[in-house]
Amino acid sequence: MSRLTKDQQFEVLRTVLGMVEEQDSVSLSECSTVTGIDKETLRDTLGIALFVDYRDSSGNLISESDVFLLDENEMISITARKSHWLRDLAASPPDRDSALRLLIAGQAMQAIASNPTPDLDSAVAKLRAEVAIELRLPAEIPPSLTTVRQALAQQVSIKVQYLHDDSEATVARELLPFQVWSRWGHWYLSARDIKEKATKTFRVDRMIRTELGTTKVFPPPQLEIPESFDLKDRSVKVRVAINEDDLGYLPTTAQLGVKTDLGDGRVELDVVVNGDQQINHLLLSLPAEAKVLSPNGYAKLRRELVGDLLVKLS
Amino acid sequence: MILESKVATPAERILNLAAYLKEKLPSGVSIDDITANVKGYDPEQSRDQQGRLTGEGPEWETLRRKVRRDLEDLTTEWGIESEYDESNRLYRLLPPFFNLEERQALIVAASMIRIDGIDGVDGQIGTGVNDLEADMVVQVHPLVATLRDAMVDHQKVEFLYEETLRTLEPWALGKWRNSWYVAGWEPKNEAFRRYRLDRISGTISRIKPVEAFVVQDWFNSELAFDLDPNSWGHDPLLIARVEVDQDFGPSFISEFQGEVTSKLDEIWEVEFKVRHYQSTLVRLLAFREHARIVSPPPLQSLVQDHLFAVIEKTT
Repeated sequence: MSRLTKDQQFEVLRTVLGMVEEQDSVSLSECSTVTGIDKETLRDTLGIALFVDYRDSSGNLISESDVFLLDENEMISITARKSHWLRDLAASPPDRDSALRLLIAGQAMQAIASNPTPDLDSAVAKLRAEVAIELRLPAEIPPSLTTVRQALAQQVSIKVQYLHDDSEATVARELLPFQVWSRWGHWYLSARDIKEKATKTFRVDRMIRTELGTTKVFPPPQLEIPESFDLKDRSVKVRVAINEDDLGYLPTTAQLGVKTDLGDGRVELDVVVNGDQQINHLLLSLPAEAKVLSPNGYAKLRRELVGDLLVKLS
Repeated sequence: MILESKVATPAERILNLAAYLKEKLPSGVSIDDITANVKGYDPEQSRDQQGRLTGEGPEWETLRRKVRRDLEDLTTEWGIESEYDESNRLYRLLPPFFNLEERQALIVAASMIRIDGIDGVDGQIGTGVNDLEADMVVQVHPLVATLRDAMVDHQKVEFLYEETLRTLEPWALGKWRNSWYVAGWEPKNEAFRRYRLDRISGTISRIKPVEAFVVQDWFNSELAFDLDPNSWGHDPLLIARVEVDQDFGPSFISEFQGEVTSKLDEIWEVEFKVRHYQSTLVRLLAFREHARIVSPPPLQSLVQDHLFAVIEKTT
């Protein structure tokens, strides 16, 4: 018999029902880890809701609940419809935070969907009314994403003209695609160039003129979406003196440091940019009155870049 | 499998009640039906010799409260709500918030799109999915939840933005180019304003009372988060025609939302509206010699004058 209180039992049941319904199959051990309840107690608790046919006081069957099974391998899985009647009956909306999460996920999904999504649309409409906020989530879909997804589905290579961050012209590459993902507002492909050994990350919006290749792809086990890119090697801190009013017009990629007021409408601060492309853009677009104070050589580099561009545009 | 036990636990009784209410849709059930038929209640409690509920007295009151508490638990714990039909003295389940198809669509969305920055409650839709299957991550700024609460309650907010204290009626939240913004009305300046959340220092305070503002009818959230300076700028309108090297075409279009008017010899000609000269200059310079202004002359001069001025000031 379970040692949990009624409220604890319900909490465990809600969590496990959610996991099983949303993952199709979950091990008893995983449920134990997530709920923090030992397997024996968990088995007792699950018995209350998952494996009992509901009967009235005279033993007559009210409702069958045999949509979940705990098999000999201790896997809990769905056996019939992909839902449990207890969740089907929920008339209350999700709590505020869960509703906001679902609204964001739903709207992001709508933005990237290529086919009509009537069920998602009506669910999002209900959530939007419930969350009672205006939320705008535009999503930019790079044109090459369709070909990338086709290559992944067919497990074949993709031939691209790739425009590297720091290069002036595209490079032809044949990539073995492993996983496409989106983070920080961009779509990325984890892939290996057929001429290289290491798996790298490529920005999908930098892929120009894509086409499916013929090389068969054998993807590695599931890759995880990186939490961050290590940009330390490419990061540069440029110290500038600039009119404070001009700060709003620096390239959006520039990260602004703490300002020191110079007392004449100007401020001095560090501006952090990553990679040659961003450095060049910053130096080219700094207002004429702004001064580059460090690193050494960057004031000269600024003049050279500007002079070079003047010649090329003439 | 049937769990044979003489006495149902409270949890079993409550779930039996849910199953019974579901089976008795749409007619509904009386307290008499519930206590007589649902396993876990004593079918003989508070009944007279003919088996009818007495409807009064301490025993009846205890039984009535037990059913009420169980129904409240169903709402609190499972979101399963019932209404009481006063005239017929019947309890009836309310329809679900989401139908099955809607719920499954949301589960698919939650499994494909990971939301970082706001935690859901275990057991709620979308919290049981396997994160590893998600191929899209949306980072939610930590201030979004506070602003959401203020928006729901129609409370003004106060925060420090670039060293100035701002008071704002938050009307909408949104993203533009990977940054979160709040848009709303600033009473002090009687102006519509947008603030980037990552430039707000510290926390946001909600100012009492609630229901302190109404969102005006003229507000358009779509326009509010079109933060392209060429949409909201006030410089005299220019139509820019720019030659762009083919390889840089897609990123140029993405940056300026322009229209490709021709594609010849690996050169795209792109046309777009300019309403903010300074920001257009800065963004054009990101493309260096790969984007060349064809017309109008004032825009050509803008670029050339800037470059000459830099040479002059730095030599």
